[in-house]
Amino acid sequence: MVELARALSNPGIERFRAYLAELRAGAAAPPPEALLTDPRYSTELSAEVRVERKLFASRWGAGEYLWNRLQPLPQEEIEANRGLWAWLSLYYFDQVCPRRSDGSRKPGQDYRHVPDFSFRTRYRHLLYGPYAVYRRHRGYAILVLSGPLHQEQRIYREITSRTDLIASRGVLEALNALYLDRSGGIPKRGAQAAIPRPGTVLRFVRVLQQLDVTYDVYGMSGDEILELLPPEFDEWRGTGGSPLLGAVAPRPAIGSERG
Amino acid sequence: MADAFFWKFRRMQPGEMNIDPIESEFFSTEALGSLADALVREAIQNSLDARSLGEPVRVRIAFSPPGAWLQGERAARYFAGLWRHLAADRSGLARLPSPEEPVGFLVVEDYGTRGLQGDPRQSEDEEIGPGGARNDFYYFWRNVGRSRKQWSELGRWGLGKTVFPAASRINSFFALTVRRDDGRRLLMGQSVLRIHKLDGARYYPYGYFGQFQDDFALPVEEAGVLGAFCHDFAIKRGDEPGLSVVIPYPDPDLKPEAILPSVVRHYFLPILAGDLVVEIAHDRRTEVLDARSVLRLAESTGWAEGPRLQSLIELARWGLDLPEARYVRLPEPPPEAAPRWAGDASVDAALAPLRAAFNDGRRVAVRVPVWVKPADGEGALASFEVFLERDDALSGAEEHFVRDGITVAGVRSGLQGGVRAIVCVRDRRLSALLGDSENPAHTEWQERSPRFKERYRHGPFTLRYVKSAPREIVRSLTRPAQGRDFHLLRHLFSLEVPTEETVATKDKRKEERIGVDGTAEAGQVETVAKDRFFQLQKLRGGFRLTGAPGAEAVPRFVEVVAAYEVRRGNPFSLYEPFDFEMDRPPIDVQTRGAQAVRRERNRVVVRIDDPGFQVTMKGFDPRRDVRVKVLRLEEAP
Repeated sequence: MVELARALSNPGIERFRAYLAELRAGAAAPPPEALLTDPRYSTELSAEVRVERKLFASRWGAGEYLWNRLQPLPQEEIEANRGLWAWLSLYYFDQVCPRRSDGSRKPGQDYRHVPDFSFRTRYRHLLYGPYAVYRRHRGYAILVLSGPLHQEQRIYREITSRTDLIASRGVLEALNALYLDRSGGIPKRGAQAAIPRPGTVLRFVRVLQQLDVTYDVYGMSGDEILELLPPEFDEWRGTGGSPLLGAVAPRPAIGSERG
Repeated sequence: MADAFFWKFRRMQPGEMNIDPIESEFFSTEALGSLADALVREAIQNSLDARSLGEPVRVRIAFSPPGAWLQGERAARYFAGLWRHLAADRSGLARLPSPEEPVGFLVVEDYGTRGLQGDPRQSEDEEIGPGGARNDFYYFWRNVGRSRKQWSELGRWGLGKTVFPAASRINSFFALTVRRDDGRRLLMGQSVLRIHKLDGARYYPYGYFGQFQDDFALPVEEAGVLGAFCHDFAIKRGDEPGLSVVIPYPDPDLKPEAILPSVVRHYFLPILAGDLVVEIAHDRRTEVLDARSVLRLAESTGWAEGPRLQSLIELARWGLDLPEARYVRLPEPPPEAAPRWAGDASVDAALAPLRAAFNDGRRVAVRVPVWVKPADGEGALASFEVFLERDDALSGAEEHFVRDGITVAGVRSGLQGGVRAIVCVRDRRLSALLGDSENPAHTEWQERSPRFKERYRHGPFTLRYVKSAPREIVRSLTRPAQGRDFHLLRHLFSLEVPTEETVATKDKRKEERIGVDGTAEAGQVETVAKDRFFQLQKLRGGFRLTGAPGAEAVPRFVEVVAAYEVRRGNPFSLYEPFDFEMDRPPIDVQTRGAQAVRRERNRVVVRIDDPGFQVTMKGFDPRRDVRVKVLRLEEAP
């Protein structure tokens, strides 16, 4: 059902935070959805934004959907209205904090659901993060925004925790060329290994930090970055095609249009 | 009237398949924001398809003022036989109005069109020969998801009309048509429910308003009835050809303030081109959206999206008014190959003259030729136009793909931010190709659509070529010029050019420094660090540690530690064996007057045998800087 999005007011946000605290304490209460429409706890937005409770196949899908839906709003409202993002988190709570097999929910830190837009945690919000990355990079973000809504992939965390990395289109192009499994639009197996192995995402970040001393890597294209990488990345390049193929399935975007 | 004209649903036969209508779901796509958008898009599209040659289409959307709402007997006569079906179990209507509630209504009329021509008695498909007339009446009233619309027409799924019942709280509508060919005036109605039960009988979802021969609905033609109908629903049509649709109990989301921007958003191009005029009557006034007024209206109404629409309209108007000679025409692609943007240097060359203008913020127009090659026919060279401008006020990119007047709302090329683009497809052959790939809501171009696949040679490539045009053109326009620009930052970083006089007075001692001024042989190395007992010199891909001349207290053992430098943090603690390992290739350690007694990870322990020792380590990545530290070891390791 299509509904008009709203913004949680300060009392609404406090109620939402209290609910998150209850979950962390082991409660199994259902989400306080009444806050979504109760004028005491939520307010109208400056423009009509219609959303529906669709199931997102990936964080990229959520980013794209929200980017489309939030178009009527002024950018400054999107970037600063934490009540809006708290409302959306509550609205999509079953996806950003799904019920586990034992009936419990693990919401994690508050900033995953109520953004504070600080430098360190702005991308940690489970909806604002995908939205912001999608808005900046669209189809090129397909790899960084892979995986289910409630789980941050290692690649997402590594890239978004460094502003120079997430700001660089070339970095995303190079990441896609190295680590994107084009048949499924997901990371290649082993690319996100927690223990550093040759050429994995963790190594990519480390080597880029080293190259940053001698090159303007964040101003380079994906091809130029790939040319700089040492041989340990060779086995990850082996899929052929242009690293500029920014996106592939799950839906036609940039890469698939290049054939 | 009550005896002769009424609503009727057909009783279903035992064993007949149960299928509920689902067509309204085709218009609930993400790209269509609202019911108002769906109604505007589909209604006007149908009108443009029914256009009489040579005339602009005029569409009038009128909201009934509360004072004109029908009540009592005046209302009841148009709903005879309908209410019990609406109220039936499982009719699919959740919030049914009361029969006593006054009947508000919304009227959508078109003029400059041909009306629903064709035999009203036709009940099944007939073969139409070349040049034969199509039975619009039959396809409008008696078909869903089936259409005989032809190659370049906007609609082709036969689903657009289903937005009319979807717009009504009772899922029902009336339509009065005046036909251009024979002047007949015909009135019918349709209600779309679900399979429902009344008094134990099962009824078919589609019911009709009209006259009946058994279960077969025929239109009402009696002049008196039609006159009363026009009067009751404030229909302006006299004998002028076209179609007037009446939507009773319109959905509350259908408001003038939703309809007006929707018309601009979806049909700005045919309005500006003079092909379409839309009138919206509400609250005893009429807003006219035509080529002259549309910009003024966007400026004055205070819509949230008003400024964006103004900019869009201005760009579209500029492009439409531009003489053909001022378009940059891209080179004609080879007819035998699939069209591609990648690596086409001739495109860059053709666009080069626009680069400065575009980057200075001026608008540009590009005509892009492309071949349309039907699978079973001759290929034809078509073209489309792309209008572009930079707009720093945009937070992202703004793209509008317009096929034959209708905006295909869900298509994006991945254009960079800060740019507004209109892709305008007016060529009938290319429009046909794109239309074949469209979904029922006309919001996407889908290359995997069954209607599209196999119908054209290089069809998907052609589709992608059109879709990616704004992105690729902008990419070419913003690509840096080949080679180095030695003047790029000269206003920021400048050095005085030395004169003969300044050179003559330079400190002679400096000139003796190796490799600094270029006045002496640079040699292979550059000294980068000194201590009391060693010098560290930089080599390509490595470094050299040598004993300092005259050094005292030279240690017996030292540990040389290396790591790739980083901009932030401690490079030694960030070292990982995948960077390099001192005991593995490609790292090569050579010694003279010293001995490498241990090599592991990023460390080498060196025993110094001669104060003039030399340790050379090479094989590091020359693209990364190496940081080195030398530690005295007190004891033998």
